[in-house]
Amino acid sequence: MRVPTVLIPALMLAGPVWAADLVLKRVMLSTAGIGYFEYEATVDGPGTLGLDVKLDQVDDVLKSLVVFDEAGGVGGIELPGRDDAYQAFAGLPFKPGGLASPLAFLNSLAGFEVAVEGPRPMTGRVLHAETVTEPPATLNAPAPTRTRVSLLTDGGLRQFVLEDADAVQVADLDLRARIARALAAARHENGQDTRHLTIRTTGTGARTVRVGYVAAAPVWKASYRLVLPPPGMTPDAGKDGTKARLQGWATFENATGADWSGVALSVQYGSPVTFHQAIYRSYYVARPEVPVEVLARLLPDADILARDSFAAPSPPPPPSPSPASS
Amino acid sequence: MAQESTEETLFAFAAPVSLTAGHSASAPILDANVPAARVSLLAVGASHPLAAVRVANGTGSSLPAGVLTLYGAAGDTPYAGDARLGGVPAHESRLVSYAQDLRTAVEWRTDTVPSLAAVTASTGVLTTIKRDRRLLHATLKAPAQDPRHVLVEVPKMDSTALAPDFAQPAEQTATSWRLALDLAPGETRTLTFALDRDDAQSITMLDGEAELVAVAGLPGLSEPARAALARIAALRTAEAAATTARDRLTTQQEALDADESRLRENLAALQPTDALRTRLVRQLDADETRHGQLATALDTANAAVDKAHAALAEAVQSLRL
Repeated sequence: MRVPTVLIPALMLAGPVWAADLVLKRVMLSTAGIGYFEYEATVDGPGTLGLDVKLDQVDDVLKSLVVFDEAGGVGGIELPGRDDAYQAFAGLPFKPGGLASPLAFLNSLAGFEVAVEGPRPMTGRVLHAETVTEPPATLNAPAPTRTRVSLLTDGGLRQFVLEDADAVQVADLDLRARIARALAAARHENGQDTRHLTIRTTGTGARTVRVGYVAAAPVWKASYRLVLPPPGMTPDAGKDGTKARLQGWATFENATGADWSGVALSVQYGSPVTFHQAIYRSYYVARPEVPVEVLARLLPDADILARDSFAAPSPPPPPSPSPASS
Repeated sequence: MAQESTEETLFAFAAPVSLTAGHSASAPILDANVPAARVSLLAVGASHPLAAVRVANGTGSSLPAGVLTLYGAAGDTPYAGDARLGGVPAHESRLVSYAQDLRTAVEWRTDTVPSLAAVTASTGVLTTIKRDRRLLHATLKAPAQDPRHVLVEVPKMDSTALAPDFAQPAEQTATSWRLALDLAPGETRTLTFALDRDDAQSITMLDGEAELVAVAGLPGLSEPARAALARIAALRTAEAAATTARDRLTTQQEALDADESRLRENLAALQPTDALRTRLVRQLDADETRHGQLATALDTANAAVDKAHAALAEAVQSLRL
């Protein structure tokens, strides 16, 4: 058997590939609360193998998946990211919460151009959307609520009622495509509890490729039945050849989410070191924030009267000589 | 089919397994005849032992921990009881208790015997070890038709030891001793064993007179030890008496000093011609005479105290028990 090749992210391989499905062939359940699951597929030349994994087991699969390819190599694994929806919303004017209602969606499009189809078609940039309550048709009828949207058009400010319009379309084709992708990502995030792994193999010729991984699994339980030896006391077991019939049974569950069909099953009794790591989740390292160095701003004081201006006042002019008395 | 490795055991099912997602299944991993023997396991104080079976793991592979359902042999009660089995490595055995053996009766009697286990003295420190011996007598009666191999399980406790003069364990675990007793059908026998619990106390012989006397009076103390302790107690008493005599003289001297001070103050306040002055001078002269006598007596008393203390210290330091 070849030593399993370390997986490297060489996913962008050119050329036609053989696509095959992996079939579960071997299961080993352990008293340590983990299981080993091994799949097989027949490929011819470079191949891609598809494997659906429960979302809560993707960490374990990424941590432990091993590929045995006797006549080839391992190309790598690709799967949708754990935080795919978060990334898809990164370039949009709204977060997933902006899809909660048409009102929230329209308000998150403030500033973007939309085209309104219906009895009163118009095109313009969204200013604001609000819910208005109209007078009831009859005295005891409930007051209807409508969504009034304000647009800034080439002809000035115009309004339309969303419930009367046939369609409201985002005019920017690129933004429209990104919104569609974000919606698809949100559906993937919320609605699917599995991830589809694409495993690429390299090599030539027809061969069998085996893929195995270790993931959390219910503990199998042992129980015994013992048929007692005949009555009579002896000090030590086996000294007089007395025997008892001992039957051991293993009780286990298939919690993989897929049927087992003719798998080679074994149960392991032991206590291996095993742990889980959230390897599928995105992690970012917190970095320190460094302030931008700027020159200190000066603010000179307002000038006041210079001290030299306080010079002693000039002495009074000497008195004029008294006129000589005549 | 089991495979045993250094750390683990693998049980592989011979036939392929098909199981719908979310379903459970149970399948055999072992079916073998193993060496076994019935025993009765008796806890201290219990009225009846537990019916148990000693199972030896002769399968060649480790047995995982699990619950056990026991069935009687052919012709016996179909269901015997439930039990728990810890993990059993290959070639080891375990006792599995599954029912109360109501047909074997047990009576218990307990005696407590305090004793002095040891007295040691070294470098002035006397150490006594008092022992509380708990004698337990278990009288067991086997059923009329069946013999019994009984193991009395005695828990191990801190500072408690199984006394050597009585029944000794046939085997022991990390937490208990097991004493064996075989009973023929209908036989009644008594098993006696003892648990010793020692309590050590140390005193400094120069200080603890009362404790010393108490130890000297303990039953079980050897005569030489008792005589040695009695001599030390006597020296301790002599030292105390000498000290008391010395203290009495010291008290008298202090009173005399106070009286002389009073006389000198009064003399200083009188005129040379005062009649009282002559009387006070006479009294002061008498005090001085008495003061000299007390000083001599005090020197003698101090020497007596030092001598008594030295004798006691020498006796204490040299005592070896």
